[in-house]
Amino acid sequence: MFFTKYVYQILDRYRNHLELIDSIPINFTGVAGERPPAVFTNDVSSDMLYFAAHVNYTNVGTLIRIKSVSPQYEWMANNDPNPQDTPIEAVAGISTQVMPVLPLVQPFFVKKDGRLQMNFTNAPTSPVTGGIFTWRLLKLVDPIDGMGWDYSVGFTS
Amino acid sequence: MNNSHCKIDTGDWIGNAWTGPDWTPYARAIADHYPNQVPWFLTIPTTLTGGVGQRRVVVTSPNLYDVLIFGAHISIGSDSVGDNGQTVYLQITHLETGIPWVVPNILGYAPMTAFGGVRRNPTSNMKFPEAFFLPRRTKLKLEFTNAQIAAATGGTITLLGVQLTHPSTPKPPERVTMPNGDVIPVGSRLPWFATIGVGQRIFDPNSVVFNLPPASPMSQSLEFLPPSQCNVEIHDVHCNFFARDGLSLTPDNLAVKIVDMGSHNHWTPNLSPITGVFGVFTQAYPSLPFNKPYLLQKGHRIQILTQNNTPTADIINGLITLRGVRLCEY
Repeated sequence: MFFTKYVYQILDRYRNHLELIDSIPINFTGVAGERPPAVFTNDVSSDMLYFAAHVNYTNVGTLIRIKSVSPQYEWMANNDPNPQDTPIEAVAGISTQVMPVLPLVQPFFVKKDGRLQMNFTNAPTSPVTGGIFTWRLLKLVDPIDGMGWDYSVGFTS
Repeated sequence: MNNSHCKIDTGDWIGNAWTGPDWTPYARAIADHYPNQVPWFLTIPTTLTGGVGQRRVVVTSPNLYDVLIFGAHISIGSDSVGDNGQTVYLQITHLETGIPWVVPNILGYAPMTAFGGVRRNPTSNMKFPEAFFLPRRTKLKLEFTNAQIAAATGGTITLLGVQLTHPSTPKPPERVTMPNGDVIPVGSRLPWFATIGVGQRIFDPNSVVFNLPPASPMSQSLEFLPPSQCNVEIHDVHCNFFARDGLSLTPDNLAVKIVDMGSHNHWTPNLSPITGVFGVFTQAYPSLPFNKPYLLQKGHRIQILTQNNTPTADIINGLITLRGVRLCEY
């Protein structure tokens, strides 16, 4: 069994599942500790399942905060007065790592035209210039009932 | 999967590599009570400021949703500071139940590297032996301790999990059905860590220090874990002394023998090189698994004999951590 039952129930509502690789420029300018404007995943005209992530640099001092815009879910639970964002290596594989693409604990479903918002913080030392964040996902096409899966459908045991 | 729709003509042998960790049956049984699942990351600063022997306590904020916590990621120090978390120790306690994850023996904590993967090592996110169910509106207490050597400043641990959203019942499930049909209480399987120091304990007013001297001609140490409070599944073993401050301690010259004192079951009939028994944070398995989880009966205790065959190097603050699942009810 490759997936949990939750993921199978999502996949089973579509006739086809297509590989999709979505790369988003982070736009670091090489300034230590900088927080560039939020970047978003690209709109896709199909429902999607996000599986894993990669960044194309090796500096491990950068931080990330992710939320889904539709539906609106915060992924990062730390809401301290001085919010502590998440080290990039906890979310994404690094170019030189044994696993350059790091899977999520559970794939995340996004309805068509939905997006993820990502806020990055540059490293305090040897800051990164540029940077590309890549998501590995499945595009879920041709829903069997014409509707596909949604959070209002949910998992049924 | 509905194969009539999704069959791969070249054969169904291609698995999906990006599915994340295998979920334990217990985690799946809990998640099946909820309609939706959302990734969850909680990054907790240690708040350490570099004091030797310093202790800091951090309490997490409560969550809106129930959470299953699967593992952790560590980002702290360097080879020369905190030894990447090998010499920063951690105890985690669920405040609602008061049950600590690390057995409260003479140490009462485990190296942070026993909890999570470290930065961009082969395993940057490491699973716990069992997922921890954190009910909504409850908190975790994390106690960080800086060791005597190369004290760390700052650093974080990121807990990784899944938010179980839109619960169909006002309260979390109290019992779940396992694949074998057993109905067990939620909370009766908890991550379990048991840490023991290698060598002789040296008196220090601020902390617990262990030392196993070099061979002259042979240096041995015999330690015991406290008797188990309840049945425990032991899954794997982690240690923090293959290398110290980035320098190898020639771990192949260190040997170990493990015995279950209750059943007199010798896991290693002879002394075995520790490199074949323990894992460290730089490896694909930071905590080296057994062939099958070992059931340590209630009241039994583990004996660990270590031998230092290295001609010159002391093993200072070497810690061995057994990881498993505590099978108690609240």
